[in-house]
Amino acid sequence: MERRIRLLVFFFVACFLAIIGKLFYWQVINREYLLALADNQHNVSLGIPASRGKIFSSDNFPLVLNQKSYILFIDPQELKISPNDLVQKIKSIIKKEQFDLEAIANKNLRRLVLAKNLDSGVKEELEKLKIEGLDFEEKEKRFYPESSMSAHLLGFVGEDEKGEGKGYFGLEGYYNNEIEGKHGGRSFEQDALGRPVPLSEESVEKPIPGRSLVLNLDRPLQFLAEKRLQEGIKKYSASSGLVVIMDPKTGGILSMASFPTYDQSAYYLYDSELYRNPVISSSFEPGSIFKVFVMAAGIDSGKIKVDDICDACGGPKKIGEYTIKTWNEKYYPNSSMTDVIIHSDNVGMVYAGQKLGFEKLYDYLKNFGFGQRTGIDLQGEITPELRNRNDWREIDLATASFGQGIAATPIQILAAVSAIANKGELYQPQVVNKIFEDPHVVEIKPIKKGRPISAKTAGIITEMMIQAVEKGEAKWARPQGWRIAGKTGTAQIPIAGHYDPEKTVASFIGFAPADNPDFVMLVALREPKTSPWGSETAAPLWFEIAKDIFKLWRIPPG
Amino acid sequence: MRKFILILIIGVATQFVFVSKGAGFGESVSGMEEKINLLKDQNQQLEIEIASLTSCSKISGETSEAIFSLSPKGSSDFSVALKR
Repeated sequence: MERRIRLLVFFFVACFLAIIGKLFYWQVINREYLLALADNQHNVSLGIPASRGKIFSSDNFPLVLNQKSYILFIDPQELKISPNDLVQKIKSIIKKEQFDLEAIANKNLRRLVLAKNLDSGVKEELEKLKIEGLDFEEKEKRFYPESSMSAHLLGFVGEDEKGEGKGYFGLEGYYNNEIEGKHGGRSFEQDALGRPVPLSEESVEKPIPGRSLVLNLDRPLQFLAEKRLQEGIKKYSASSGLVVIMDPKTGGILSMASFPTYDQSAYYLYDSELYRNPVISSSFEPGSIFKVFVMAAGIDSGKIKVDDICDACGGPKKIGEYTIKTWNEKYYPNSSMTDVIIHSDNVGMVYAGQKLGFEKLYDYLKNFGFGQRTGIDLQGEITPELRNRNDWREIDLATASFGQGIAATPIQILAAVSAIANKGELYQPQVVNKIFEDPHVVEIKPIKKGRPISAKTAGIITEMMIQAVEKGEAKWARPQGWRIAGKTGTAQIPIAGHYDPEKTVASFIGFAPADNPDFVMLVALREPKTSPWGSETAAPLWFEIAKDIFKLWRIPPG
Repeated sequence: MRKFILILIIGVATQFVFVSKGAGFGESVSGMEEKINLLKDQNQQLEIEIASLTSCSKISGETSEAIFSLSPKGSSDFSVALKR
C-alpha cells in the first residue's frame, strides 16, 4: 500500500516537474520568440496609401487624376466551386485568359491575386456573381483625361520592389517625392479569428496626400502640336519626329510632343525603349541649325564682322584629306555672312569657324549650354560630351562649324536658340510652374543661367535668321505677314564610323514674332523619305504649327 | 439610507446621460466621416467625367464633325475651336 502511495507521489511530482520544465522553457528560454509570435497574431498594422498629387496644364485642366481601382483576390480555402468553374465565370469580366489553376486549387494559400487595376464597374459585376472566397482591395490608379497626350512629358506610375506605386520617367519620375505624399497606417489588436478586439488600443496615422503640379504646358497647343506632328510624320514618311516649344523669356515649356509614343495607362504593353523622351534623352548631330551658334560666337567675339566677305566661298574647301562641299554643290563667291546663313553655306561656315578658332568656339558652346544638362525638370535627361578642349583637330573645327561631328539633345538646341531670341539671355527650361499643397502654393521662378552673347549680337543673328526664312530654301512655305526668324537643318546620321548616305535628320528651329518672340520651336523629323531636306519637310511642318499658334494666341501679322 | 439611494440613482442616471451623449457624438462623427468619404468619391468621379467631356480630343472630335459639315477646309481651324 505504502509502495503504491510512493509511486503515486513520484508520478505527481514527475508530472509537476515536467509542467514546470515546460513552463520554464516557454516563459524563459523561448520567451522572445513566443512574444513575437503573439504580437504578430494580436497586433495588426495596415498601411493606408496616400493619394498621389494631380497634374494640371497651365489652364488648370487636369492632365493626370486619380481613380479608384481594385485588386481581385481569391482565398482558395473559402472557394466552394472548382477552379475551372471560377475561371469560366470571371474570365470574360476581367478580360484575362491565363490563370494559375494549380495555385487556385491549393488550399494552403489564403490570398492569391487574380487581377489588378479593375474599375468599379468590373467589381460590381464580379460581386453580382456571389462567389465565396473572392475579395477586393481598394487602390488608386492614374486616370488621363487627355488619353496618351504628353505621355513622354508626364511619365507613368508603375510599382517599386515592394509593390507600391512609384513614378517613372518624365514628371512622375522627377517629382515622385513631391507627388507621392506620405503613406499613413492603422494598427489594432485582433482575436484568434481575426476580429478587432473591442476597447483595445488602436492608433491611426492619417496619410498626407501628395502635392499637385501646375505646368507651363499650353494644353490646346500641345494637342495641336501632337496632331500636326503625327500628320507630318505620315506625310513625309519619317520614322519618328518631335516638336518642342518654349517661352524664351522664362524657359517655360509650352509644348513637347514626340512620336512614336506609348499609352501611360497601359505602359506595360509597350517596348520600354518607348518610355524615353527623345527631346531630353536622345542626341543627334544638329546639322545646319548649329550654324547660328558658330556665327553668333564669331560675331560676339569680334572675330567676324557682319560685313565680312567670304573669299573662300567660290568652291569646295580642302582640309587635309577631306573636301568640304555645300549641300547642293552650288557656290556663292564673295558671300556676306548673312548670305552664308541664307544659303546655309558649309564652305562659308568653315571660313567663319576658322576665323573664330576652336578655343573661342569651345568657350561659346559651353556658355550656350552644350556639353551639360539643361537642368529641365524631367527624369532621364542626358548630355553628349563636348569634345575635350585639347582634342580639336582642324577638321573637327570645320565640321562643327556646320553642325556635323558634334552632338546635342533637342532640348539643348532649343534652350540655346532661346538665348538668341531673348536678347542673349539663357533660361533653364522648366516644365512645372507651380507646386501646390492646399492651401500653400510654391511658384517656381524662371532660372536665368547666363548670357552667352550680347543683346547686340543676338539682334544681328536674329536678323540673319529672318533673312534665312525670307530668302532661304524654305521661303515657299512661310506664312505671309509675320516676321519669323529661323534656320533649316539637314544632318546625316552617323553609323559605324561613317555617315549613312541616305538617312537624315531634317529639322527647323525658329522663333516668332522675331522682334519680340512669344515662342521658340524646334521641329525634327528622323529619316523622312519624301525628301531628306529640312527645308522640304521640317520647315513646312514648323510653319503649319506656327500658323496654329498665331490663331490660338491671336498674334497679329506684323 | 433613502438619501443615499437617491444620490446613487441620480449619479448613475447622470453617468448614463453622459455615456449616451458620448456614444451619440461618436456615432455622428463616424456618420459624418462616412458622408465625407462618399462626397469625396462622388467629387472624384465628377472630376473625371467633366475632364473627359471637356478634353481636347473630345472637343476636336465634335468640332471636326461640325466643321466638316460646313467646310471641306475646316480641319485647319481646330486652333479656333480649342480656344476656350
